[in-house]
Amino acid sequence: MASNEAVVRIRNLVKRYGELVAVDHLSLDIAPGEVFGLLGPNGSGKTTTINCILQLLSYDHGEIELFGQPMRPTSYQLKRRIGVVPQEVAVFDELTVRENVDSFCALYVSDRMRRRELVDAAIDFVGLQRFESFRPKKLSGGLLRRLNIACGVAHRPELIIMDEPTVAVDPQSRESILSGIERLNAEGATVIYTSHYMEEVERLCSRILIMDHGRSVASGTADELKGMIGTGEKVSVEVGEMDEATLERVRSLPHVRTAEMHAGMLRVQCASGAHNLSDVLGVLAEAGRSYGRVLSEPPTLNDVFLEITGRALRDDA
Amino acid sequence: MTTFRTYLEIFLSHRVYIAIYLVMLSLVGVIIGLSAYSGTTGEFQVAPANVAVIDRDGSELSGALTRHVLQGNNQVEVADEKRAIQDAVARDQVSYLLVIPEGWGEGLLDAARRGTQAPNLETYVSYYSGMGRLLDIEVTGYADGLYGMAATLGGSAANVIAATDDAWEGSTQVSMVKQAAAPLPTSIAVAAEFASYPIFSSAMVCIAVLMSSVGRRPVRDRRLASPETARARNLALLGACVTIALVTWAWNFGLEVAVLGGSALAGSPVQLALVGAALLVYALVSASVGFLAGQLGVSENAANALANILGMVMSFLGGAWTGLSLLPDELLAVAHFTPAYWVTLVVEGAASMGEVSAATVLPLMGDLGVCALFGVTAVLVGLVLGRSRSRTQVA
Repeated sequence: MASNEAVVRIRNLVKRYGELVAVDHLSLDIAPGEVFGLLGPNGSGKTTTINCILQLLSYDHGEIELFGQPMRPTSYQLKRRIGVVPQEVAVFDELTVRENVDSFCALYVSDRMRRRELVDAAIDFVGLQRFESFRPKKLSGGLLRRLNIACGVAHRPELIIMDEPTVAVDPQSRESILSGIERLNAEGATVIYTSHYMEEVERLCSRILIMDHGRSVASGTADELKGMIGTGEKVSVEVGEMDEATLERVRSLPHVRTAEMHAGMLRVQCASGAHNLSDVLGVLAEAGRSYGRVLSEPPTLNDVFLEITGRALRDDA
Repeated sequence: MTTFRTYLEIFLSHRVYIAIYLVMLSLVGVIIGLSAYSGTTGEFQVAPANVAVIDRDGSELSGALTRHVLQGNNQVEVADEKRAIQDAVARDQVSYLLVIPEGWGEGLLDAARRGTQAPNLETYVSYYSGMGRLLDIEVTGYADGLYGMAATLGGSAANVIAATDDAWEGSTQVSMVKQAAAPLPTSIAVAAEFASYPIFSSAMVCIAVLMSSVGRRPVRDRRLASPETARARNLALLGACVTIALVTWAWNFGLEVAVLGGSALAGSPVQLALVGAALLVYALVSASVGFLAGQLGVSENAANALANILGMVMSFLGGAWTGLSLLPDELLAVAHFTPAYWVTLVVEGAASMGEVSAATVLPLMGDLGVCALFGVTAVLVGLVLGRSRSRTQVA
C-alpha cells in the first residue's frame, strides 16, 4: 500500500433495515495517520457504518476497502490490523483486568512472550497497573472504559475504531482517554472516532464527517465546517444596565440574530460576517455607554452540528 | 487454543456454582449411597424377633410350642398380667406375644382324637413391624402340625412332638446360589442414580453461563471483528463443553468409586465400567442441553432455574428419588422421553448383572445409545436455533 493510499475507502455504502435506509450511499476516504471524526445525531447511521466496516453487518450495496483491499467477513489478515473499542464495554466479567486484556490480545497475537509485553504496555497505557487483578465489577465507570480501550488497542493496531469511548466517564478519566488517543495517533495509528462530545471531536479529529439520516451532510476540518454555516461569533459585553432603545439599535445591526441582556451582560449572537464586534461596540459608544469586559467567541462545532442536523429532538436509537 | 483457555478460565471463575452444583450435590449423592450400603456376608441369616411366651398350661405340648417360638428369636420376660401384656406390645418391647391357655395341650390331644376344633391360642402382634405377623403364621402352622400328628399318629404327647419336629425341620431349606459375577454394591447404584441430578445441573449451569458470558453482544462483536476464525471459535466452545462434561463426570464418578466402590473395582470391574460409561454419556447429554440453553441465550438466572427444575424432574423420572418400579405407569411412559431413564436402566442392569457376557452387556449398550441420542438432538437443535438467532440479531 502506498503511504498516501486511503486506510479506509467506502463507496456508495447502502444498508437497509426493511423500509428504513440506515446508511444511504455513503462514501468516504480516511488517510493514514488521520483521526477521523464521525458525527451525527442518534440513529444517523454512525454505528451501522462502523459495523459494516467491521463486517459485523452485511450491507445491501457498496464497497468497503481497508488498506487497499476489499473487506470481507473472512478477511482475517485485514482484521488483524484493526482494533475496536465498542460503545458498550466489551469485556468478560469473570476475568481480571490482566486476563481480559490478555484474552483479547491473544485473538491477534499468539506468541506468549510478545503478548506479555503488549499486555503490560496496554495496561500501562491506560493506567490500570494498580487494578490488574481486579474483576470488571470492582472497577468504576471510568476505569471500565479504560479497560475497554486497553482490550481494543493492546495488539497495536494500525486502524483503531472507537465508538463513543468516553460515554459516562468523569473529566479526569476523559482527559486520560483523550490524551491516550492522541498518543496512539502520534505513534502512527489511524483512528475513526465517534462521539457526541463536540469539544472532544474538535480537539482530536483532523477531519470530520457529519451524518444524518444515513447520509453524509458535511465533511472537512473543524474550521472548514465552521465556515460552512451561517452562524458567526457570540459577542458578550459587560455593560451593567442598558436602555431598550440602545438594545434595539444593536438588534437592528446587520448580521445580528439575537441580542439580550442577562445579569449585566449584553449577549449578541451574530451571523457570519465581518466587523460584528466593532459594529456592536460602535453602537454602545454612540449611545455613550461605558463597558467593561468584552468577549468574542467564534462559532463552535456544536453550532455547526446543530445548524446542520437541526435542533429537533431525536428519539431514535 | 487461547480461546479455549479463556473459556476454561471463565468456567473456573464460577466457583460458587462449582461448589454448590458439583461438589455439594455430589456429596449428597455419596451420603445417600452410604445410607443404602449393604454388606454381603455370603450366608443366609434369619433376623431375630423379640418374643414373649406366657405358658399357663405347662404341658409337654405347650413346652414344645414355647421352644419352637423362642428358637432363633430373642426372649423377653413379660409378667402374666393384663397391663404388662398391653405395655409390652404397645411399647414395642415384643414383636410377638404368645399366651398358651391352661389346658391347651390336653385339649388339643382330645380334639385331635375326636376330630373337633383345636383350642385357640392367645396371641398379640406388634404393629411396629411385620415380624410378629410372620411369626404368628409360623406358630399357627406348628400348632396345626401338632394337631395333625396327634390325629393321624395318636400316641403320647412325646410321640406327637417328635413327629411334628421331624416334619418341621425338613420344611424350609435355604441354600446360597453362587453368581458368576460379583454383584455391584447397592450403594454405588444408588449414588449413581442420584448423580444424574448434580451432573445435569452442574454441566448445564456452567455451560449455559459460559455461553451467556461469551455470547454477550458487545463481547461477541469484538470477537467477530477480530481475526479469530469461526472454526477456531466453535472448536474452542465444543472443547470447553466437553471438558466441563468430563470434569462433572470425573468428579461424580471418581468420588463414588473412591468412597463406595473400592470392592467393586476388583470384584466387578465390568459392571463398574458400565455405570461409569452411563454417567459419562449422561454428562455429555447434560452438556449438550447446556449448549442448547446457551444458544437460546438464556440469562444466568434462567440457567440456574432451568438446571434445577430440569435436573430434578429428570432425576425423578430417572428413578433417583423413587425407584422406577414404584413409578405409576403414566409417569413411566413419560420417563422414556428423558435421558435419565435410560441411564438408570444401565445402572440397574449393571447392578443386577449376574454374569458378564455379550448377552448381558450389549442390551445395556443399546440403552446408552438411546441416551446419547438425546444429546445429539439437543446439539443439533441448539445449532439450528443459534444460527437462526444470530441471523435475527444481524438483521
